[in-house]
Amino acid sequence: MNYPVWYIPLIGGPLIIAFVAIVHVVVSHFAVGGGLWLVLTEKKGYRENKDYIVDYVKKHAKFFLLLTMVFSALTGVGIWFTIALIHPDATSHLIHTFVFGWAIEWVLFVIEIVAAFLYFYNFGKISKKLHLLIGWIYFFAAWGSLLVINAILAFMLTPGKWIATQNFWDGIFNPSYLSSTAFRTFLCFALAGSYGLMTATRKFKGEQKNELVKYNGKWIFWSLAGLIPSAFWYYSTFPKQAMEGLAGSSAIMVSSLWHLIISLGLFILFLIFLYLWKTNKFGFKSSIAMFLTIFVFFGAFEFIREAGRKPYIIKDYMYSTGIRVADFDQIKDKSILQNAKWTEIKEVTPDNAVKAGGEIFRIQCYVCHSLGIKNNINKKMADWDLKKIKRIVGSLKGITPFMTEFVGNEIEKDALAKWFYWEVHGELPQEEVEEGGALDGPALFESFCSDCHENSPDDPLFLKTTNITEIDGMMDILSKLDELNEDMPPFEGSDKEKKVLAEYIIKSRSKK
Amino acid sequence: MNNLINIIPNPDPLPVAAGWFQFLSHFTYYFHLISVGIMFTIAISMTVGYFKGKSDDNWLSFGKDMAHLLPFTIAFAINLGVAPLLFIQVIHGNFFYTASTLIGTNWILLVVILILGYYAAYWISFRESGKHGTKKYLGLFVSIVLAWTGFILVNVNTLALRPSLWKEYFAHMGGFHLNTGDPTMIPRYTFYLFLLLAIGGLFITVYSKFKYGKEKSKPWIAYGASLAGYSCFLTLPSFIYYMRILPHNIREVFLTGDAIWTIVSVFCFFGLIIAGYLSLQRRIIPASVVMGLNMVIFVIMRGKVRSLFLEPFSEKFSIVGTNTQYPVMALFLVILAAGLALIFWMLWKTHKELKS
Repeated sequence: MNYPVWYIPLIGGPLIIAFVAIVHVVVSHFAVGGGLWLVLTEKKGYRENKDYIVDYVKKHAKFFLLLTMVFSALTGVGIWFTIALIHPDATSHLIHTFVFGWAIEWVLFVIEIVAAFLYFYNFGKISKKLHLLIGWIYFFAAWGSLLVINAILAFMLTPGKWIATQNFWDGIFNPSYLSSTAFRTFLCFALAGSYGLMTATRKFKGEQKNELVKYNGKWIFWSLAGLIPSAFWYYSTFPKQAMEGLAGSSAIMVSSLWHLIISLGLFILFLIFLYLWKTNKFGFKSSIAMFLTIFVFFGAFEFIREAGRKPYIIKDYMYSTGIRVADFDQIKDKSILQNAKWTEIKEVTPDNAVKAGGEIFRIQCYVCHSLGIKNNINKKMADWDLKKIKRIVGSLKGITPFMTEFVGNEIEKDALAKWFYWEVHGELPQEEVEEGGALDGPALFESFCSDCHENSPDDPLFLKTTNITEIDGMMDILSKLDELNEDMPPFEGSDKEKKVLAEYIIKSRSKK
Repeated sequence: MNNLINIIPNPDPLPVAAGWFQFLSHFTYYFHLISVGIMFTIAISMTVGYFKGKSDDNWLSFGKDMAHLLPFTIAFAINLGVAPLLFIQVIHGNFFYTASTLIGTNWILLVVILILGYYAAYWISFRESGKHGTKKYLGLFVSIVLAWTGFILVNVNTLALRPSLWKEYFAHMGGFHLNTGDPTMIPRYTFYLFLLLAIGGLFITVYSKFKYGKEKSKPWIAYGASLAGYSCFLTLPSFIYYMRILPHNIREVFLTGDAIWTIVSVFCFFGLIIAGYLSLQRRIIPASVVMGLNMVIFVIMRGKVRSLFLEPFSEKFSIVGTNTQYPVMALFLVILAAGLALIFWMLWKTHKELKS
């Protein structure tokens, strides 16, 4: 509401953020774990007096440099730019609250860059001791940067005491900080082993390859030994609502969890394949496939983390829409067009209702929904009539706990519904149908009940109303839905619709 | 004016006084600007080296040397740009984010283009014996990418100062807008291009002097000095034109309206002339000192221009909140000092070992 947003509805902001974020984290975590891998593997080469291992480290260091210095660094800038375009309110807040955290991270980046260049360009040119020392400095700077950035990411999910104190350190040492740091650190090491497998299988053959494959397998094995318990620890620090989402209340979280479990399973199968069974058969293609499984794992994890804080962008502090929780009650029933800074339309009129609805979509829905590829709102509404759209818009929080309530007045709610209908059908329905055409029970059931209830004798709607046989009694129930069950939205239809629907429910039940 | 105030996003509170961020922003921007000047000039010189290298082995060897340096300079230029970008987002984030949204697609594409340009630079650097034909065209590509990056940055920075141009958002919500309608944009950009070449030209002279020895460095000192000298002079038309088209109230401050700022702008103008003259005389050290000092003046002047542009919207400036973070800032400054000490130690130790 405060800022304009970069509006590309066919792709949608979340998809762009997800794409940039996932490709960035997979490489940036490698930049951390790979740092430790380089020094430990180089040490191994010296300790065992094996030149080919030192040579392997040198070649891997080049790959490491090209991937981390260029791709990781610039996609890091890219994710900063992207979130500022899609979530400017939250970005501004995070920048202002943690500016010195970001600044410390920047210092660590500078150290990383200098150390990485010195390490790569002076391989074999300076003493082993100094070379390894520079490698260690690189690793600790990189891990230090993870400690900082992860604190801010964890803060967004579990701000903890910060909500009350607004203290910098309460924000940093938030409830999921340590657990998520442990989880990400082991993930860094697992990624280091996976990347190590790719370069080993690419550069070596025969016994040397087998030895290096087993070496990287060990990296992955020990990383998983830490990763899996830390994942449970991390889960235990999730907010209650995120846990419920994983347990089934959020489709995207459940789907991501399945992706995570399956990809981890495949990853472990690859590990067994390479380490216990047929190391000599494990080649470059297998290493790529193994890397892809951890890529999916990482992506699924990031989706879970992002979805876990919905409907907030900063849990309990700011909604995804950029509205602060503290301001929400004051503005929720007031005109959003009046409150929003970046809209050309300030008031809905009969002539501009559809266009105003589009503005409301951009201000309030676009941050999570698109009109195209991801979370396509049009697809969801393809079979809905205008009344159902209006009702859904009016009871968003009741539909899923991962959505915030609609902010705006009744006229704006209607305008948004009309715009949705117009987006799907390219026209608005006939006014007379909307106002008073023939009503039929199945259509009303579909419109008002079918999101949560099925037209089946086992459905609670029918089971819990078996003793109500009179239409008045059923109408009474429909009149106080939100009082009977706080998860249900109030009935928003007219009295006539209520009567027809009550008749239909009773008749349907007697047929069953 | 009221309408403009209404569309400017409300700022977030500052954790320490704005002056600290102004200082940090100026301080880090100074080093960023120098690193960008070095990077850009090296990219251009590398490309020239490969183009001329077809018929001249000295130029080819020079081009290769520049190619070797280029990836380092890109890394540092980008990294040193992060800090001023961070601090300016703290002071004027509400202006900056809005401007970046208006050019959103171009802004994001910049990252993609920079990745391609950066990889191209590495490709040239690592291919010791590759075909020069490919290298020269890739060099050209890298140079264009870097020039384009500057163009986009000038776009966003000028747009951030002009809320009166922000209504363009409603015509370009997809972020394809560029601030070319702003008369200050092009002269500001061309000024930067020549200023960067001047900085980089001086770097090449100093680098050549230490790298190639007295005799062998002569042509490259001449090249760098000429590049720096002529570039200094070529900044002047842009400087004058920029001053001329600044809004009247801002121009007045620098031209007799305010004694101190008038002196500053005069110093900046004549500083460029003196640096240019000394460069053409090949008096490298004095030219570099004058240029270095002039850059300080320029960075301060740039900050003043920004604050004058934004002065009418001062009610939308961030102010210090109730939860200040001075101890955290002190920690940052300690880490910065320790980090710099560690970097110098690594460089010194490595240099010492390489020498021995």
